[in-house]
Amino acid sequence: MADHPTELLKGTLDLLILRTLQLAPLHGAAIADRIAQTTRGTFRVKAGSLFPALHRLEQKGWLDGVWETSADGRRVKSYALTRSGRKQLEAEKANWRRIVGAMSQVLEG
Amino acid sequence: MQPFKRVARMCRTLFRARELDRDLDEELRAYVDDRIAARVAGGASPAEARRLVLAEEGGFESIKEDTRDTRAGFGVATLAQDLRYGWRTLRRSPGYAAVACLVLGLGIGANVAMFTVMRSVLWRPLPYPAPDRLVVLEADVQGVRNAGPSSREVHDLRIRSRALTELAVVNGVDAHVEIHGEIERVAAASVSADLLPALGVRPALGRLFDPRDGSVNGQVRRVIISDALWRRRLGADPAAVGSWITVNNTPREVIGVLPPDFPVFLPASTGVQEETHVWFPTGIAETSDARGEGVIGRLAGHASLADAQREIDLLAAQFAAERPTVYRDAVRFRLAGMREAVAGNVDAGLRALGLAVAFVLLVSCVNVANLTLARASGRVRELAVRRALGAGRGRIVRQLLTESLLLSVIGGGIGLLLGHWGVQLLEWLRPTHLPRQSEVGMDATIALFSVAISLAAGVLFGIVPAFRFGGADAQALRAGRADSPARGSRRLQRALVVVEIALSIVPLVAAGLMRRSFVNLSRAPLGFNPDRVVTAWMPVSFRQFPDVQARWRLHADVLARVRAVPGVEAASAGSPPPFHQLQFTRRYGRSGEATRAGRATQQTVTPGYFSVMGTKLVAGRDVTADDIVQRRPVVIVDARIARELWPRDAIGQRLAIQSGQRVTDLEVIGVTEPVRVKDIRDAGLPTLFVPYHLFAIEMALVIETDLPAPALEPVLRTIVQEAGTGRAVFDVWPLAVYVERSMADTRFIMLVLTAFAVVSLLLAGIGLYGTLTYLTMRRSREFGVRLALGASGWQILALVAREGLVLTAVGTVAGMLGALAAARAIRGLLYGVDAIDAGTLVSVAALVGVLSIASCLKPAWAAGRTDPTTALRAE
Repeated sequence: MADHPTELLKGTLDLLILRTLQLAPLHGAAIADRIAQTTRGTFRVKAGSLFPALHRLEQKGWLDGVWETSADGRRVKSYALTRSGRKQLEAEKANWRRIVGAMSQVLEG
Repeated sequence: MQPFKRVARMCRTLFRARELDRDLDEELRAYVDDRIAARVAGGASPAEARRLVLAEEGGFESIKEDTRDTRAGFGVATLAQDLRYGWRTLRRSPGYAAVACLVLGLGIGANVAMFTVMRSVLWRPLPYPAPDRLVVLEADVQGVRNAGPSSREVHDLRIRSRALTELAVVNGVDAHVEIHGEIERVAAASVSADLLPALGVRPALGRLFDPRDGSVNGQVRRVIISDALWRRRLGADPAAVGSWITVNNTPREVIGVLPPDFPVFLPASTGVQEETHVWFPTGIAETSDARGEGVIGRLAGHASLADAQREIDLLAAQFAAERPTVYRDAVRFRLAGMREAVAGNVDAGLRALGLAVAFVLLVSCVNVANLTLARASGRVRELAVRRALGAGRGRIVRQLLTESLLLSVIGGGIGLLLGHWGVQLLEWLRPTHLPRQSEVGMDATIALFSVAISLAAGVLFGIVPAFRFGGADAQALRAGRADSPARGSRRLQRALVVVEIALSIVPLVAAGLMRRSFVNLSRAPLGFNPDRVVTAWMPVSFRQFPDVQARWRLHADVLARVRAVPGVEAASAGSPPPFHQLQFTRRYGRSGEATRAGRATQQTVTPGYFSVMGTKLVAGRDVTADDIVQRRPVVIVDARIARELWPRDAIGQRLAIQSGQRVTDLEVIGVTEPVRVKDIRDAGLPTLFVPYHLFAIEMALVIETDLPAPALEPVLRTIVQEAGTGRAVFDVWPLAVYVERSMADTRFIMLVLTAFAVVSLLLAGIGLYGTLTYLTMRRSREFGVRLALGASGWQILALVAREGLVLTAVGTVAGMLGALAAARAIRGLLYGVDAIDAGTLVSVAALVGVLSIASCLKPAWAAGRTDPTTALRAE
């Protein structure tokens, strides 16, 4: 599984990012690592899709990017979920479940 | 997100872009450092780790570009950047930019001018209330189109029709206004009380007519005058309302003055001019069956034009059933929208020109597309570098399109200016029959139109090069020689040149056909010679001279005095002058068979008329003063009638002429050569001439002289005033003016089409020259190799020249096919020339051939002189 990173479905990345930030604010590399970790390597997010997505979500007001100094003294931009971001996460979760439900019915039924 | 936050973000994107970019750089650097650190921790050397990370994550410049794209308002920021960049690029190649802008300016200018005219003349609603409900009522009786309804019919329709309201009568007439002893003739209209209110006009002073003003029995004593007449002749005196002025020998009370901006746009069939200065009231006589009334009205309620037409067809059937004797000839009423009726028959001509300008713009676009393509293929290296640095394909396409749009907007500006001049040029060319010409002008809609077509043109010519080269990539860089034109783009450029040439052929052929028509018209045998003849209308007051013989003596008196003027060789009178818009047609035939033969134009003549006009009498004699005094029933016919009815000898035969219900039998005393008076294009309508006493209409003097008309005018004025006709002479013009006017439309269309054709031919020449020059330049290395391998300079020259000529030949053939279709569309405007005219096609082909040789010369020469060492070393 880990050898074959899956293509991200359109819109899935947003959901993954929002879900990852639900627990704690993180910076770019950490978000990518956390996604790879929690999906056991199924999704490996590269900078090419990660940063456009982060900035898009920030533009929409769902994320709030803040410059911080990391543990090793470097300046990093860390992203936190805003209130409307939380609402969006719930909406996307519900939406995702509907899709999963529908797909399962098709595939198994 | 709340709107204000969004706006705040947009402002940041636009004005704090540098700060945002710095942040983004830092964020990505942190990310990369993090990744490298992770690999180093895994045991890789720092350099190896960096290489791997960069290879894995992809181009960071393009990541940055994608990220920036997500910013609110980034499109605007990009546009501004693209514009700045585009502007710099264009300034670096001013030659290309100047030619492109000029070419577009020409194309857009022609369209702006044409659109301005077409909008005002054809499409803009008339400046009256609910203009789309206004209709014109016409009546055709057997054989006579636009005979006009009769007063009685209007009266009955006003009562019976439910689909039409406000039916009003309006007819153009003359007014001879006498103020302080000086008589001046102005255009006037005789209108029923409903007309002016229907046009939504309010008097500036006084009042409009009420139904009592229009007395039916001719006792008309009131007038309304125009603002211009009020200012010019009455000193803009407010007390003029209620004062009396003498019009047509009768004192009349001025009851109102119309506002200065009241536009008069009525169908030509009513005979009302745009500059109408006197308005007479008229009633609608319930008892008159005389046809010829101009009638306008309004559709009632929700009735459509078709509803009204159906109703009026039924009413026509009722009329015929009620009074079968009057309606022996079937009458057909015809309703038309007033705007269409006002535009009249200029429609076809304007549409042909509109089509032609569209072609000009197309040629311009193709031309600029070609130039752009040539230039873009020279920029392949630049574009490839930009892609390698992270610009997306979409971004490059957008950049190239922005440059095109920048060009087209500048071109549009030039076009607006040229269009403005073009409209002024139209004023100068002044075709006679262009209705609503006074309304032709530029406004916001025109500006909007020019912006729209500029942008459309920009996209049109920019899109192909943009997509062709938006994809330029590392391949181009790796190829080393980035400026060797790709095979595909060369093919495209050649195709565009072919299209350009083909498109320019179409207006050329059309212009050629119009030119031949014009030449044919000016050589048409008229049956009279307009040189050295001056005409002048000489009306006579019917009130003062009710008797025909008294009027004839007055004419004879005036003519005797005119003949005594030094410089006058001969003088006579006849009417109406040839090609005057008013002409009388009659049915004619052998005695007893009047209705069976054809129709002819009828002219009224006096002794000596034919000799002044230069019309040859081929048999018999002229009319004499004695004929008129003795009231002899005689007629002179032209050779076409004589040949048709009495091929052996027409003299002494009896001709029957039908006018309305009345048939007159006349003895033929003379035969003239064929004379055209109704329409210069119409060789099929013969003419017959009756002496003054048989049809005593208003006459025009015809004077054979070398004196110019303006010199003659004061002399005639004095003579006529002394003779006491009670009216002013007017329109003292060379006879040639009438002839020129009858050809004015043809001349106008010919001139405009020629201008368009010249422009598009020039454009095609520029396109061919530019493309060949460019391709030759790009192939200099190939030529260098050929020369180095032993080819002669002449062979290279021939190679290039052949390419140019082949393109021309292909384009010409394609264009000819298009031209044949276009020629069919303008067939109605042609005269004496077939839509497929070998002569025109051959000369157009020759012209294009010469032009293409001229365009090939320089590039071919340059190619032949390629220096192989320089060409190869340029590597």
